[in-house]
Amino acid sequence: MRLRASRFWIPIGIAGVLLLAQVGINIWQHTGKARYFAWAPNDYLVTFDLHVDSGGRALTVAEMEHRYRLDLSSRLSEETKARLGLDRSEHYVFEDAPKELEDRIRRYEETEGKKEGARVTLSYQFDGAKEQTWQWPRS
Amino acid sequence: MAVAEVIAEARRPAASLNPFRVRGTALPPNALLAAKIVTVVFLVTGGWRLTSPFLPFVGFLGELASPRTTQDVAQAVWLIAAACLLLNRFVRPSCLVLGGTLLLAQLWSQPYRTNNLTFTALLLLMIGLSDRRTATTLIRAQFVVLYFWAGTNKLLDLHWRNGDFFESWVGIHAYAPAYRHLANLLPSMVLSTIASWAVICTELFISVTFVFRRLVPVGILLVIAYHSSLFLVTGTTFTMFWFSLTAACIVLIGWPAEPPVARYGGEGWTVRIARLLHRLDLGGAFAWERGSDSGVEYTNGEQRLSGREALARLMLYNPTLLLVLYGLAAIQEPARRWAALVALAADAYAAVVLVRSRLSPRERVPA
Repeated sequence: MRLRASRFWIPIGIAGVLLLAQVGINIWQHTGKARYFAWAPNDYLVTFDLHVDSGGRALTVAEMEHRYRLDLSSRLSEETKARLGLDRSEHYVFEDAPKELEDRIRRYEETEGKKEGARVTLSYQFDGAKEQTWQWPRS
Repeated sequence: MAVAEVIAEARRPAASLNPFRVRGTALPPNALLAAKIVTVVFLVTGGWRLTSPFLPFVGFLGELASPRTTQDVAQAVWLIAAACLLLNRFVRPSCLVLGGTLLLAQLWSQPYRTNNLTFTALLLLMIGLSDRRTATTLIRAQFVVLYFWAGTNKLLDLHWRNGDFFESWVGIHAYAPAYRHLANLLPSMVLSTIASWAVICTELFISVTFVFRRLVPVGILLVIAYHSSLFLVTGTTFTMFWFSLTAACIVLIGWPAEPPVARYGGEGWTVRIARLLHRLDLGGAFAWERGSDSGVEYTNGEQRLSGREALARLMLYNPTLLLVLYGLAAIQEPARRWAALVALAADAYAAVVLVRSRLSPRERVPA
């Protein structure tokens, strides 16, 4: 009898923890600018350009894609950029919060890319607002 | 219609190795079907490859073994669990392994984490943690959390409230000229602001519908209509989102406790379709009978339906048909918008039947 009850309540308890954890993570993530494991599906649009200098040369698009596991396929035509009032240099799209893009580059450069001492310039517009520039290493 | 039918405790026949069969396991048939659908889509789209550790959220997960070995082991575990699930063996543990592996892969790779994969992982975990009594409650709770926070995140974001996000987002898609043409008929930003608030209100309302049992059928119809419309307009399923959300709705649909009796005979378009469905029913979802009367009949306990209504149920409760449809929709080329149209047509038909049953007490069936 006790075994049967535990077979019912243990899975329910784990499911309850999973649900409560989601609530907690959502509240926690709303205290900052990232939305990791919080429910914000396709809620952001970051249009950006990226330059990475490493080993005395500028990395190619393919090298940057591989380095940060970013999708750097060009999705913004000149006509689209003109229509949205985006900077002409922006080529790429990231559909999460801009903080998550900065975090990814920063975390890579702090760990796996630390020895290379790369210099990164990220220019982006968030939801079509004014262009911002983020750089690594932080000055 | 189906969303309002009775769920009865089913007698459990021996589980079969037939992947199209969904009865006779520890899971409710529709929960097992939903898990199989997600698994098949993952297999077809190549999602089973998962990913190797890269910038992990939890540090030690990146140091378990070499990235390649970690990914290979995860893939092997995932594929074994998928095979077990599809062959109706250890179905609950298999769901836990499938969902757990997917969640782990997101914890060990920051770029791999996406909302659609997180939901897919949680859906599989919730199904694995559920049984015949708790499946619908857990999936409803997951829907409440998902839509409440999705709506709240937008509500708290200035760019969503003033339409800036929508204006930019629509601008990068292929249908931007058509949208712009429509927007130009109104003052600046009005259409984008209306669209943004429509999305916010829809998502928050959906979360409310899953709180109240009576409103669950409305919630199911809204989820399918909302995501299939997005799919139709944008041409994207948002990776796994459309598949996982619509599959989760199947768990909430009342499912016949025993294989219903399907009887057809004579000629006519409904009979021809019934004959095709009979051939397609590889999982023995129905007890098929040849009738002497012309037409199609569906009998589930005391419920007896004929014609189009019978046919609708022969399609809805047909795991083979659903698995094939989802599998085909998961193939990227040629363009798969047809799947959104099929879902919207089924949704519209279900909405009409639901409204009719609410307006006509004689036809009402317990939810």
